[in-house]
Amino acid sequence: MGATMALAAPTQPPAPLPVDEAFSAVASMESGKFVVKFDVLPGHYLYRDRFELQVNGQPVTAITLPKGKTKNDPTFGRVEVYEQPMVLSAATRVTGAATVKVTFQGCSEVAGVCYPPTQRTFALMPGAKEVRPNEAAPLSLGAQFRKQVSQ
Amino acid sequence: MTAQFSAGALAPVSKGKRTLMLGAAGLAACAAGALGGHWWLTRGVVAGEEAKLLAASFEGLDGKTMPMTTWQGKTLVINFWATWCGPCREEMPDFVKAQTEFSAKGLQFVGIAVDRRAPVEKFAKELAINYPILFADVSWLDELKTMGNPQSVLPFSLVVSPKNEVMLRRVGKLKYSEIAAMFA
Repeated sequence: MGATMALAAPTQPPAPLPVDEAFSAVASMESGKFVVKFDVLPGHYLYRDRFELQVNGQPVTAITLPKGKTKNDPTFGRVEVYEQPMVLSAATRVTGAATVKVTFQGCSEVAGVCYPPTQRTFALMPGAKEVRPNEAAPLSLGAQFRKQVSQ
Repeated sequence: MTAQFSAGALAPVSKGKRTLMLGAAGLAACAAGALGGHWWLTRGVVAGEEAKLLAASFEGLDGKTMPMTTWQGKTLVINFWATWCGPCREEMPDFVKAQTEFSAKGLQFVGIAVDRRAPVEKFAKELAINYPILFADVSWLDELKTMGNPQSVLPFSLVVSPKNEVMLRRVGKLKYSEIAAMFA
């Protein structure tokens, strides 16, 4: 009874990258709006309908998202995704410091896996530009290289 | 297995500089893949971490708590999945087929959903899943980091022998042919 052999791993897809390398994000607080830029690495995608935004603990429903690419997903049907760098924005009347939390979810086409819904927190002051999330580790040299060639 | 990207996975190039960089990245990735296969398979794995999983209990679709020891002595395929994960849903028909085909030879799938109950119930019904589906708190995704899934992605499967030895750790889809090969 039972399996009789140790499994030899067949050719496998590349290992998944850390989520902050696959979808690195920076946020800014411009005149009257929050802007979050995602750099989507080649071979990855973000679902358009899975973004959520909170500002100072309050959900924000009026999020401006660009049109995505229609993907004919074998399980979910036609869904809009971002396979390229994209920008999310939301108008705000906040004039002081703000804590912005963005939730997103995406997958790696090349690795054949999906990342769980991920939340990133940005501590922003008025006029702040290109602020990295509190949770993200510093980019490794490899990640910086991949980021550079993806642009 | 360590190749993070091959040049073919990247978007079309438009500048000479980028072409050179991509070429270098591709070569580096190929070299890393060739040299680092074993390293990747064991990267971040903490010996014995699965013992915690195998000793754990999870709530099932029927609301009853099921200890993982229920299936001790079987060749166990523990598959972490979620309905929001396309590749997870894609591989599961193969699991249903394999469960039917090899259960007499001691194969037992256990699906552990890191998800909400309602969509899991709906999907399990649609697919007529013929093996136990349990629910795990999202905190289990962190536990998987030391079991061979450093990025806590899904799907993730562990194949455990009747003697509780891990035979395979799979980040990504597990194929029917691989399961069948275990019982050839």
